[in-house]
Amino acid sequence: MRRFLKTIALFLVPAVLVVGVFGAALIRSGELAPMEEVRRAAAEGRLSLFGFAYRENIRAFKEAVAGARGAEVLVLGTSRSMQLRSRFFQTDSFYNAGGGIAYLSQAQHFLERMPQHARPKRLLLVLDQYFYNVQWRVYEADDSAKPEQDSTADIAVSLRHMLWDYGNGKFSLRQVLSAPEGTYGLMAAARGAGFCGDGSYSYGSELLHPEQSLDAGFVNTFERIEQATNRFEGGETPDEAAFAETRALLEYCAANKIAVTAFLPPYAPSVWQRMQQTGNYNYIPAAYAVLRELFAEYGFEVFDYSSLPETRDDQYVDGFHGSDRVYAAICVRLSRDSALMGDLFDAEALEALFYAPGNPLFVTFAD
Amino acid sequence: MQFTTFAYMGFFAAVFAIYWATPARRRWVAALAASVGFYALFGAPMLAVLALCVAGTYAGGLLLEKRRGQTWALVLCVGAALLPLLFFKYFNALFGAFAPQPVSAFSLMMPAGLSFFTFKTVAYLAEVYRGKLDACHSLGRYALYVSIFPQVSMGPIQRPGDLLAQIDAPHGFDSRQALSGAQLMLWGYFEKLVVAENLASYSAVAPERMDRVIGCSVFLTTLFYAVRLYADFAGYSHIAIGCMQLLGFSVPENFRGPYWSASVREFWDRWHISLSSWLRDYIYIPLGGSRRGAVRTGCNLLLTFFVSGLWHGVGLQFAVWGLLHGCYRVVGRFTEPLRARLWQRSPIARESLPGRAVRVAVTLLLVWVGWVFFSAQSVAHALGIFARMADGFPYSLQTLKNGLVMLGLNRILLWRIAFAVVPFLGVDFAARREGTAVWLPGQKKWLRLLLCYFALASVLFNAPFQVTEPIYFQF
Repeated sequence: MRRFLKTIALFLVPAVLVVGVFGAALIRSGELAPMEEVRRAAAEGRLSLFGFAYRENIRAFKEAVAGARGAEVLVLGTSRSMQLRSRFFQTDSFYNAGGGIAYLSQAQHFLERMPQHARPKRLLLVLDQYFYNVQWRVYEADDSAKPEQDSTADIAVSLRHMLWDYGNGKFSLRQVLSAPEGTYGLMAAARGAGFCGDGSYSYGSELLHPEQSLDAGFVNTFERIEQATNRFEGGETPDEAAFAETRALLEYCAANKIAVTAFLPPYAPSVWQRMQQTGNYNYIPAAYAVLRELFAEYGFEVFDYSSLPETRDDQYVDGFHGSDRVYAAICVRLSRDSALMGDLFDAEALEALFYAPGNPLFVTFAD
Repeated sequence: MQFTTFAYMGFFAAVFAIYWATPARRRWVAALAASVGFYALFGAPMLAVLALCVAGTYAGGLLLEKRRGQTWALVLCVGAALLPLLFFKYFNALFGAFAPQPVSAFSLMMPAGLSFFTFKTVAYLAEVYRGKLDACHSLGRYALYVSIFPQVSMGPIQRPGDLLAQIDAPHGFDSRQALSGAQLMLWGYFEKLVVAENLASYSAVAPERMDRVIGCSVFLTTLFYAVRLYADFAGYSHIAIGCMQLLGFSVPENFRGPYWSASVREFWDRWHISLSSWLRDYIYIPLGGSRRGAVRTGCNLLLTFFVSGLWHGVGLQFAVWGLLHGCYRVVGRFTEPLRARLWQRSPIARESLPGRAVRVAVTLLLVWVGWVFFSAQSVAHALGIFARMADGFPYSLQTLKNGLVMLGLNRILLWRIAFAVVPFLGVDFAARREGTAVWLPGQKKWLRLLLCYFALASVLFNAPFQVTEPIYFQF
């Protein structure tokens, strides 16, 4: 028996060493860090990049950090608001809470849960078009207004995922072990993907090989349009209940002296063209027409940036998520269109960023 | 508790420690306690069904010992043993619409491994009846024979004469046997977690999605299914055999390179050997086997394979699969003289390498046709698969490429599958004469070490995160 156990133990030594190295890398990457630690780092300005690979807690994270920072200018929306960088705005008091909501109804709850003193003075609200599609409502859970609970790391599950991803060539150990201070999460450490200190999102090394993306050539998006599914459900008339939610949100903002500027985010040009060709998305212009009047009632403003002809397909991460360049272009437009926020932008500098040569998915700041 | 969970590995490690720490004469008690605990995790109602089957067939064995030669006693005991299987497997499909709701709801329960341990009990009753085995006079040891945990949910269906004798004879720890068991377990995990699971997502197209892929994609899924099914079941069998070896029990191999068979007859000597030999010994031979003339032999073959099909499932597609293999055997038997003459006239010798390659290819084709029915949700679905495959046939290289892409396979995934399937088939080919369980321990130390480290590295880095339920668990 002793000989048998010794043989098994000797056999397993290399495996234990290998697993140990990966375990150390997992810990070093900050993937197992408790959410409390990440929030504290973000609130204190020590966070450089936050991107967990094997768990998600974005809503709770954004609520906590937005509440702690108390920025004067707050961006709020889904993943289609996350590319608005602090350096596009001429203010030091900025936070991008993009990713903090998945449904329109969550926006008001997000603001309500912020401490009163921390609520923004100016809110840049990104309204996904499908919020106003009655078919989108069925996906919303009954308890979507409830605050999100902190996720806890499961080391065994994370390690298992990590070994598989390593086998898939998704990262190198050297990258992970040499991640800079202030990095939390394997996505952040290995691929430079995650939320920056200002709350905006970095796609990291994924953008270096757009041809390998799941939506390369917008194939996946075109399939969604064809199937009329997954945020591309069709519709003739907008959802009245969504207008009621919007009105309630605007009333709340007006009561709390929060000036609201909103916009409908862009689709890639060929995607928008395909959507128009189907004739199935008439609810979008109809929704915008109603929203314009609704916002005007409160002295707020909303713009329809569903189609930005000055942008190109190769400037989009996928069919309906623009890159930094696209959001620089949006800020250029806001500088001209928005009475409430126009003063926050240096249009010339933003145009320079937008038209600068180089990778169409990145902007490079002067310093 | 599936073998592929950390919970099972922890459970087995604890059982291994307690088992070997127990005095030799009491080890069967430790194994029985572990088996009861294991099965109890499936739920109290299932444990109750298992206990009833054990108690009923134990009493049946004692009765048959006194009533050898009396057919009514055998019919009574075997009928009682088969009753739970018939009820839980077939009642709801045949009579569910007419039965009271509580009854039909209860019949949906399907105790884990029922098909497997029922066949173990029937084998026991038949051997006692025939006088080849004395009835077991220890309820505990008999219960262990039926329910020993590595075998209870998916076999192998070990014969009572073999396993009961090992339970009765206290044995010491055999380091060599234990090492073989550990190596076989590791290889089994490689087969299940790496080979089968890497193919799992690409081995079926749902009926409603058939129009969204090209015919070549459907064809490729049938090939992947054939490999996946084998790796899945062989892997589980090897894990079970390995566990048994670690507990000091010898278990015969359940697969011997079936896809290298040169005839359907040979295929059934190599595929799920414990079941095919059970069917031969307890259905085919009692019906008369091949001793009652050609027509009766043909009927016996068809009936035996029909039962095999039904054992696998209630759906008509399983019956068709079984009957298809029955037809293969009947046609093969009756055309043997003609084929022998054709081979004599052919420029290629039958037993030469090219000759055998041709026969293996034909056998694979026949078996593959059967798997299409076996894997389908219905006969109509199976026929739909064949019809869909015809679209675009014969396939060009570009069509094959498109077919792979349509299934969602890219270069990285194909390499992962290749790194799994090629070594799996390589070892399977090398071990085709005796089976992996016998072949592996007989190899040189460096080769065993290489294969084990390869298997371990594959399980760590090439095993998909989501593990599907073993295909044979549903039977």
